[in-house]
Amino acid sequence: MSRWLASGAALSLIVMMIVTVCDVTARNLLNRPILGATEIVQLTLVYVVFLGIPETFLKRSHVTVDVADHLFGPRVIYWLNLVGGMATSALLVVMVWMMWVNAQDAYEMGDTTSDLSIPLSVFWAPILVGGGCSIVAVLVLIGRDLGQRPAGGQ
Amino acid sequence: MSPQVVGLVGMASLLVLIFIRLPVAVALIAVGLFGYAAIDGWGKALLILGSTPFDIASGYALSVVPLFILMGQITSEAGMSAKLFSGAKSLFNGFRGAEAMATIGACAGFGAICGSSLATAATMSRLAIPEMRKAGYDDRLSTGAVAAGGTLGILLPPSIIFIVYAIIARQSVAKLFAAGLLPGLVLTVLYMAVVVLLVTLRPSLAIAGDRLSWRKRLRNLGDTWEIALLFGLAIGGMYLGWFSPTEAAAIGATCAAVLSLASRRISVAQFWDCVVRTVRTTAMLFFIMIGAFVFSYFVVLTQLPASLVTFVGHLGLSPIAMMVTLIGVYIILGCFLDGIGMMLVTVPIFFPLVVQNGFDPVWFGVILVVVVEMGLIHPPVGMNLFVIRAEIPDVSLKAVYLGVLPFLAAQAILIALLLAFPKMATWLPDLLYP
Repeated sequence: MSRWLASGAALSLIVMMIVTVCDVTARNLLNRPILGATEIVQLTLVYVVFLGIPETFLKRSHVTVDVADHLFGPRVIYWLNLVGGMATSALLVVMVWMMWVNAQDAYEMGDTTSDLSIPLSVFWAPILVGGGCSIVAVLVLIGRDLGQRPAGGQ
Repeated sequence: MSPQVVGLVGMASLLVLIFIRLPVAVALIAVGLFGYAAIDGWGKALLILGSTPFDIASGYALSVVPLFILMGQITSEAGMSAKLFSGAKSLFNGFRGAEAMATIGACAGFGAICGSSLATAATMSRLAIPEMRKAGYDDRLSTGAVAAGGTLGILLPPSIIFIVYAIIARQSVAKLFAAGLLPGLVLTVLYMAVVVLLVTLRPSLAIAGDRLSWRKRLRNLGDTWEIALLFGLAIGGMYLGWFSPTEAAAIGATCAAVLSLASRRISVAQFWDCVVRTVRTTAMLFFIMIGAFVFSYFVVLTQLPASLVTFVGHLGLSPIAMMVTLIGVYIILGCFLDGIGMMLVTVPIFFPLVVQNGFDPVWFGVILVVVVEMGLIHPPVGMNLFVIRAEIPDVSLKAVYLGVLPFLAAQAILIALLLAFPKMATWLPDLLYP
């Protein structure tokens, strides 16, 4: 699932690159910039970022600081990971919920971009999908951690 | 509670949360959200939480981030560093320690087309360390040269960390990229001077290699044309005002892709892998930037930056003394935090202090990057050292730690030079963008 989203994000990145290069070329050589190139870049950036986020959670590629790890035993780290995961998912739920409220406003107002009249809901869709999938990814990790509880008692 | 007290409690909780292994991004968001709510109520706090992700991810200026990362991914995947290394070896051929100097030169060249220190250190360890071992170098010298050389990736443009600073401090990416060039070159020379000094004091660290013919040396140097082309087109084009940073990045990434695919140094599948890895790094970076923005709204609300300015004003420190203290604080923080995290957490707090004391924001960006570079190679966290260990597992961590120490002196000298001659950083941006 997260792989599919990441592929979507990767495609968006390639589109962003090509559109920008075409825009520069057309502007400098033909003196005719592409209408709305900026908007396309903005749109693809939203897809790159938010379709990519679930996989960063799943692969645990977020920056964490582990200098204090040797102070804690494996059991403490296990619990810290677990509680941290729960806190992360709770925070993400609140975040997605608030973004949902904003997205709904944008949808009801029917706002569009100025050059290409892209509805703003097209921007919000990947944010909500990516946010929602991130919650699932964090929950999957919590489940995985629960399955690998270090042997208790010392 | 006054906003300042809430602010201090917030800072303390942030440090605690980071130390108990919560991802830095999540810690920033959590503290930002709860802190903002404590001062200004939940309504506004939640509003910010709901709108910041959209604001960040739809900012045109930020599209420069994935494009420069992609350029770096492709150039390292295609092994462009190999040609740089043999080109640089030809340049220093015949000297004792030539390979170590070539490593640093190649790192500088690679840093000029790649914006990441870790990527530079990783590709150069695979390439240079085995070769230096074969040539009879001491592990301490070879790993030290790679670890230190790797840091040039973020001082020489393009540089992801300059972009992050530009975003959080609202400065121009193009100006910062111009500001890093001269200090980056000076640091390259300083690193090489460290190598010369080391092999002079302790000739056993390295041996003088065989001499190559001049024809071969010239040919090897000529082989680095691709890197010169990429740098000239992307960064040169930006300096000359042909393109915006985003456009420069897109052109750089496209050229790197075309050159590598056309010469079959990477397959389409490898290209796709580069894009997917870029997406992952980008998403991670943006998530932490979203956190940093939520956090910085809270920081502004606490009035702590303003209080800090007043407080330091009462101390009666001279601006230079203040700056030296600040650099000291950063070096200590660098022991615990990674560069981007450190920058995102501290810039909202310290930036007003720096500007109020009459320092140039672009110059300060360069100082910050050098301090982050120190953090990349000084123990205990030193990410570059871990990268080398991951690439060359049979080298001892002790050798890596010892090997890098002399190079820290070069960075300290660069900071001193920047303090004494601020023009070193501001001359080129002032010239290009008056």
